[in-house]
Amino acid sequence: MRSRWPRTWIRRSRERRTATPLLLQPVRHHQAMVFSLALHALRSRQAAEDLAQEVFVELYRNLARLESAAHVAAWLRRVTSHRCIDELRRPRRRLEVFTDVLPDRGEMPVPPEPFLAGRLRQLVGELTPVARMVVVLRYQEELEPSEIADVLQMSINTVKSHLRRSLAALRKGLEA
Amino acid sequence: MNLDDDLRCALKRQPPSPDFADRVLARIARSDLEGGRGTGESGKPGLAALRWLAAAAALTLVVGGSMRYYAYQQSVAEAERVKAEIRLALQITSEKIAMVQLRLATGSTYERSGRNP
Repeated sequence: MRSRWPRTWIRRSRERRTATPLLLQPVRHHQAMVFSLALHALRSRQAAEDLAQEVFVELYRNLARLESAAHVAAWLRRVTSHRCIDELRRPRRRLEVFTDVLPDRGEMPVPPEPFLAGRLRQLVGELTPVARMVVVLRYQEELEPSEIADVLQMSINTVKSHLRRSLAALRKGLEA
Repeated sequence: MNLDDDLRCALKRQPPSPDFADRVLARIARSDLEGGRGTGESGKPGLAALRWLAAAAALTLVVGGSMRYYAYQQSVAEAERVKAEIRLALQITSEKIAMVQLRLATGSTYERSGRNP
């Protein structure tokens, strides 16, 4: 989906260099995209909101370098994706994810979510960080493999390979 | 539905909390206060001021250097002009002396032969 705000807000924000309500427009316009990318990757509302806020603070700092609304959207998508991958690769994060699935005080392991959408989100959350981001960009943002390759700075063949293997893993997970 | 459609449905966009935008702005304002005003894009305090200072110093050096070079060029040109004038004056003087010598030589020849020039 292409953004349609006028270029003036970028120019005005650049001139004023302040966190004025002018920044509200891009935040409100893109908050669902940035937050959902983080949410589907990290599978935690709190972590996703924190990461999304950090991305918008970084946007504010880099606003002067961005030339158009489309450039802003692409920038947000790229920075959010890379931050999610970094976050998922952090050792502390891995430990958190690991302890999440451990049985707590003798309780039974977390059962698979009964509804298909929830079960799919759970299975997507079990993919590797890069594969997870590829799937989220493909199905949340409906990007083509070439666009995903551009966002994640990898070859189209790598993207296609990730998609193929991820879909096979998801099908297998659903059948289990 | 096939897996593609199921995934689109499962991974559709979701809105953040209603006060998300306000919290982003508050965070930006807080980071601005912590970093100080006019910190520049990098967010490091005093870096912008340091950049301006370096630019001003560089400009002063360039302007000062240009002025000194111009003055030096002017003095070189003036020296060349004076040298050319002296050379011309010496040349004229030399020609005059040669002319006088010639006349003196011609006059003494006539005197020896007893004729008026």
